[in-house]
Amino acid sequence: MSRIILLVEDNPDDVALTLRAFKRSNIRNEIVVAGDGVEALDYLFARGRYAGRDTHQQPAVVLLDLKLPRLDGLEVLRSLRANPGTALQPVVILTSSDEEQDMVMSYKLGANSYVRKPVDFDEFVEAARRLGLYWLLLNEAPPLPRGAT
Amino acid sequence: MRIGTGLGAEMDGAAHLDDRIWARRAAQMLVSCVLLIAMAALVGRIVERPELASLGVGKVPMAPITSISFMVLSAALLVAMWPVGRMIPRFLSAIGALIVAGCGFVVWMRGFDQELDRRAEFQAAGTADFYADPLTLMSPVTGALFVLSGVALAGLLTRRRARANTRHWLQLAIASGVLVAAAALLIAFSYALGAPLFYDSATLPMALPTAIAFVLLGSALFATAVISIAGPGRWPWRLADVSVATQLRVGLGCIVLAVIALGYLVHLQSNVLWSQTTQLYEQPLVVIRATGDLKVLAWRSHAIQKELASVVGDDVSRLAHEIEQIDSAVAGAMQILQLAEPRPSINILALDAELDRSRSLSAQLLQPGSNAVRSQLAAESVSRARQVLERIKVIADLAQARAEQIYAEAERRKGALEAAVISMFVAVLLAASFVGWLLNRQISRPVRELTSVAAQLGQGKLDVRSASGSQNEFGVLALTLNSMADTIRTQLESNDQLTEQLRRSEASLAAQNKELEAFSYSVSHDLRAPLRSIDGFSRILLEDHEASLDADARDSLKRIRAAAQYMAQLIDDLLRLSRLSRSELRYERVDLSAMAREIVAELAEQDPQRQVALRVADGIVVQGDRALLRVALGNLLGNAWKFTSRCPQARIEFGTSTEDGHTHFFVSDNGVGFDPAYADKLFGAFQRLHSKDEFPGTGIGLATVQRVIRRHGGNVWAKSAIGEGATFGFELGAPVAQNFAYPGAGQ
Repeated sequence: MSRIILLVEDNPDDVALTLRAFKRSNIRNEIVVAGDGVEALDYLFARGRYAGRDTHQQPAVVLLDLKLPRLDGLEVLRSLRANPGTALQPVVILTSSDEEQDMVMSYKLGANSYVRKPVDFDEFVEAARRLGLYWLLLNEAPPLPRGAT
Repeated sequence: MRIGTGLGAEMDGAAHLDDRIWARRAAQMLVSCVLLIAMAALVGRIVERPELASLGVGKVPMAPITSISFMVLSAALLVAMWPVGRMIPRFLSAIGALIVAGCGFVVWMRGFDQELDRRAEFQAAGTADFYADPLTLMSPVTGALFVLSGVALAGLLTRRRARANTRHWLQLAIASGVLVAAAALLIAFSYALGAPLFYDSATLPMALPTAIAFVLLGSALFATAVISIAGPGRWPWRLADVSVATQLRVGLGCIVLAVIALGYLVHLQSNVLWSQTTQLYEQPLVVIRATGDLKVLAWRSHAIQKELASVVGDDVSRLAHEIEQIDSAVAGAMQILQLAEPRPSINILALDAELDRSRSLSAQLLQPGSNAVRSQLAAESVSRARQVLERIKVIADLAQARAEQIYAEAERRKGALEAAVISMFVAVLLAASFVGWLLNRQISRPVRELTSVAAQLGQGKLDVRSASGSQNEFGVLALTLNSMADTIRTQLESNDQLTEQLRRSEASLAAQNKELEAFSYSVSHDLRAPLRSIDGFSRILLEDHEASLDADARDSLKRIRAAAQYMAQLIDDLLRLSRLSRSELRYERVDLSAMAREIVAELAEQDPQRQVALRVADGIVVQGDRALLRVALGNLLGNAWKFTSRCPQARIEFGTSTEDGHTHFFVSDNGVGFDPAYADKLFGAFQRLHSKDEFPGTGIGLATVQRVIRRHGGNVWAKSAIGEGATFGFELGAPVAQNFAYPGAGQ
């Protein structure tokens, strides 16, 4: 079963580079891109543009940027953790920031991992490859919550 | 001198140490003087030099028993000042004090009347010098003062360490000491003024050396009790307060003046009053003795005359001659009796007539004549003698009654004189107290008022002002105090304004910091994103279109990528530097020696082929923020490591040196060094003295070091010459309790 990756990223360059990096790492899974926090939540809660989506098919991992238009990454994370249907959803913070306060807040709100995007593209590709391997192959996805719709 | 032991040595604080030492030495000196006076008096008695015992020829000398009592008491007091804990001397001392007190009590109880009788006996017996009798006992006044002194010393000896319930005994000792000294002082004054009233009434007089010894002894008892009682704030010590001391001085001065004036008055009056009173005392004694003699003589004359009636011959002339002698003795006694009754009374006149008849009968009996005539004459003489006897009895009774009246009158007059003097004394004391009180109002009330105002101002009640409106120095002082309070209040108000301004600028600084933080955050995020694009797409270009790019294009793209990565590094360093300023310092004990070894070990691990001789001084331990000091020391040692990379025998040292009492730390190497001309630029951010190709780095390291050291309140400097290695020194400030941290940092 090939599972989805949800990439929440507003910068089209970064989107392109991330997709490229996954591609170069031979990760062929479907990658859904959300341009801002609201869209990400719409996808995960199956509403708005994504109304009617089967919420039993949640992404294997959400790659979440912190700095986003409309609703920022931490807000998205907070909403996910507050909702029983998405409380266990694996979320990896993928960001430029190495500010201590960002890391602390992310982990506090229940991020599963925190990865800083390297500037060197080769390093970035390596990071993407390892993320894909880990979250798509090695990691066991959390069980679906009961009564989740 | 040992302090902290013995009587009067319990220290509540060092403030009164000098007072206590002074008081203790004074007390010891006073007691020694007492001992000397008593010994001199006793020696004077033994070697028959009474002036030693009386301080002057012909004055009242100190009695031997008084000398001995003084010696026992002063020895006991000296022992009492010995260290606490030696129980036996203290016990002996208490015994001595009680013996003296008991002896004094007995003398005192013997009373005035008994002493009066004793004196009368001496005078009646015609003893030339009453005071020369070695058996003369001490005066009852002396006895009473010994009782007080003994009680005071016993009270002192009850004092034990850390036992508060002996305080009232000490207060009793103080009161007794003052009383003894005051009474003795009054007597000494009497001596000085030549007014015998207070030392020589109808009783045994007190000697001048005795009075002086009592003044000294009383003062010593007072001083010892005061230093025993406690420390500052207790009432005896309050005597040292300026206001109380002023009052005391003024009061004491008034009293001394009053006593001198009074003494002078008494001295003027003493010639009249005192001699009259003395005469009054002496008169009845003589009269009473004369009446006794008279009765005896008259009775004897009567008996002889009865005998005469039955004898003849030569015996007649013998007996008659004796009668004649008795009659003239009776006439002499009569003259004495007339003292008792200045106006010649009928009784005396009648007795004179009877005596004349008796004399003529005796003369006739001596004439030769017949036995019958002589018998008749003898019978008549006997009956005359009986009449004389009866008249004498009547007169003697009258004289005795009169003498008793005179004695009572003398007592009354003495009492009145004493009462007058004492009431004068009290009046003078009251007047002196009143004058003292008036002066006190003038002097110490403004002092107290100013003290109270100053105390309230000191407590921060800045609205309090002195209301003194006087024109003297106190008024000036009050005005100064008031204007000082005004100044302080104005300054405090302006301080409040400053504080408000400071608070506002602090708030704006906090806002600015928040902005700066937001800026840093943006830089961290937004500046890196385009760099990532530049690098990423350059890489993609190189990857995807390698075939269509020539060597120049590929080189350009590589340069673009290198520049982007270097800029990312710069951004990271810049952010790290700004974070150094924002994080809060956590002071703890940091072992810099161990830290330096650790850092160099890490560097060696990354660069295993390097051979570096490391020397680290042991035991360099400071108070500081471990993480920040790790960054600073890491940069310094990292630099040393880096700039010795071309040295075949690299040497790095970390140690300390002390200069002007400050401890400096230094990191030195024998690397390439730098041009000292640029030493001041060294610590600026992104300042480099070597090319990037020569030694890699962004030039942020020393700026970081400087920021860390400055945040620790210290300073950093560098010394070098090209090719001679470099030495970086720093010192750390003292740890501070709270460091300024930018709001919002470290959360």
